[in-house]
Amino acid sequence: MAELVHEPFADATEQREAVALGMWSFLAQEMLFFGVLFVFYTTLRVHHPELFARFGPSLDWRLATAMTVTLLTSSFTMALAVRFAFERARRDLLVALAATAALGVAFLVMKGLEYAHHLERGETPTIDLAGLGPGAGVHTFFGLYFVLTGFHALHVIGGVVVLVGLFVVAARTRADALRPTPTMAVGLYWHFVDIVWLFLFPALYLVGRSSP
Amino acid sequence: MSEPVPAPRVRTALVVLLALLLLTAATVALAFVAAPPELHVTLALAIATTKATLVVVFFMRLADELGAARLVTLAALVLLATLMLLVVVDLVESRV
Repeated sequence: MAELVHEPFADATEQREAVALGMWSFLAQEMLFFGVLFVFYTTLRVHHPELFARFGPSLDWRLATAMTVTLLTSSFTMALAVRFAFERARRDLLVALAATAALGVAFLVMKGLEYAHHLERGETPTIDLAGLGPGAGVHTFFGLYFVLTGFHALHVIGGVVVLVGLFVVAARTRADALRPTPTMAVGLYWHFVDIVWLFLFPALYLVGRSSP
Repeated sequence: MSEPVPAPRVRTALVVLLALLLLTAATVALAFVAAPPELHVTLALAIATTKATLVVVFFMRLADELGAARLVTLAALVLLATLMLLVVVDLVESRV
């Protein structure tokens, strides 16, 4: 059965394209939102490269690599979820949505462990741009780190909540009555959040590794 | 009537995932190679951009969307690049 078509759309394809356009517009402004955070990063990196050389290596690159693999795999399962939604393959869709949400949760658990480790060591999220002195840089570097990764993690939390919602709706719907467009919209968002991490990962976790 | 599916086939998705994982391994390995910081930044940014492009092309299927969707994305990219370029020029100038 084709998807329920609402006014003013002529058919399901036109309706889907409109949803996709709306989602891409939302993601365009999200790009600029994260873009400003990367301007913050670039400014600090150019003005104070010594902070990155000193504190960059205190971030756990192994854990961050595991987080990268987790998010990339979740993008893969999300792409499959969209395909299964359009094929009305309900059981496969439920598995793919559950896998994506579980991988999102796994990412957040690792992020939580990482945060706990840094907070225990006094590497706190204080933005101390004015008071840069000997020893004070730790708060500036970790201010940047927590702002960047924190906003990203909030986006992952939002994604997991919506994925669980999609799962519940799909679980309660007959295969022939499944509406694939919401899954596609969430998929676009989820892939975007993955892309942001692809830039955060080398920018924060792989800095200052080559010098002894 | 069959709708166009805005998602990759399972096999294609798997190949893309493998490519993304290999690029991740490459960026991690390169980070430990002794090289000037400028080269590190360039390589890391190039690999991240390649990975992002793979996700946009194969997982998000932007090429199949309306011209308007592609235009909106392009506009955001141009704005972002302009912002970054002006900031970097300003930073480099003020550092001297």
